[in-house]
Amino acid sequence: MNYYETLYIVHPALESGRLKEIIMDVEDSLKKLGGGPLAIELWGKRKLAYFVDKQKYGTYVLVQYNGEGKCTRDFAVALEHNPNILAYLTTNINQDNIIEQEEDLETQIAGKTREAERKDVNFGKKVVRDSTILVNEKLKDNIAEVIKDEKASGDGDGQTNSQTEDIKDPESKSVLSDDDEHVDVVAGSETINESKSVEENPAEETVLESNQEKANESNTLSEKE
Amino acid sequence: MPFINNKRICVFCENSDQKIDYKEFKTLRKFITDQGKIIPGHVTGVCAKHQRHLGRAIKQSRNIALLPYSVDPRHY
Repeated sequence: MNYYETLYIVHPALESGRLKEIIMDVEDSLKKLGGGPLAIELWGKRKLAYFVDKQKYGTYVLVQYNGEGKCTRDFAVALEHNPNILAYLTTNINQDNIIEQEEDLETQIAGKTREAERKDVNFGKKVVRDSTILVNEKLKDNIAEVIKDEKASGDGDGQTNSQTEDIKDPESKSVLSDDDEHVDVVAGSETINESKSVEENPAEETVLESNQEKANESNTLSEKE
Repeated sequence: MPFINNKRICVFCENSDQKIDYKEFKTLRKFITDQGKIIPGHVTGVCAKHQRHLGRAIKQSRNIALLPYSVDPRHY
């Protein structure tokens, strides 16, 4: 009596109910051929390293069983004739390498489907978050418009406005309110520049004085010579 | 002699717990190139015995589509 394990890939289109049927069919065929299944492990749907039968994904299932050498040959033929199985690999293993099946096949399939559903839900959440961001941006725009309108209405009531605001239409006041701030900033910068120029002027004067002194010294030297 | 003290120790000889199996394709992936070729033992430092086991395991993983046979250099 030898111990073997077969890893086979089931077609990815098969869902949880149909997948269980196929796994049970494979197990039954193994029993008929004289093998005794010891453990079944479902790896779940995985991306294949290369295309197999024009398929990019596949569901991996590992079966460990004991039996004579003849049963593996017949089992390989059975898997080859099954159209739902993309590929399979049978290897000889030691008795120590047999895994202990902790969960039933149904719970394993349910767990894998739950994982897949969770992935889908996470993807949906991302989309919802994006939409909420869009909604928030829209709300922000609306709030900004409301604030501008309020500002415009507040400016219209007060009579301490500049001459430009009095000339312009009331509709363009909201735009002007932003421009006023800009103008104020520019005016501030101009004042700063002016103060700077005032501060810089004494320095320039000192430089000019020093140049004149140097010129005078050079003239005196030339006279001495 | 330039390489006299450059002796490399086999990873699998050091750690007896680390087994070479075709199902553990994540560990096998360290011993193939981006193109999918098996890296020689004198580069990775794996001994001759474990290199034989590695080669067999990588070929089995390729057969069941866990590892690629070859990757186009334009795709990595």
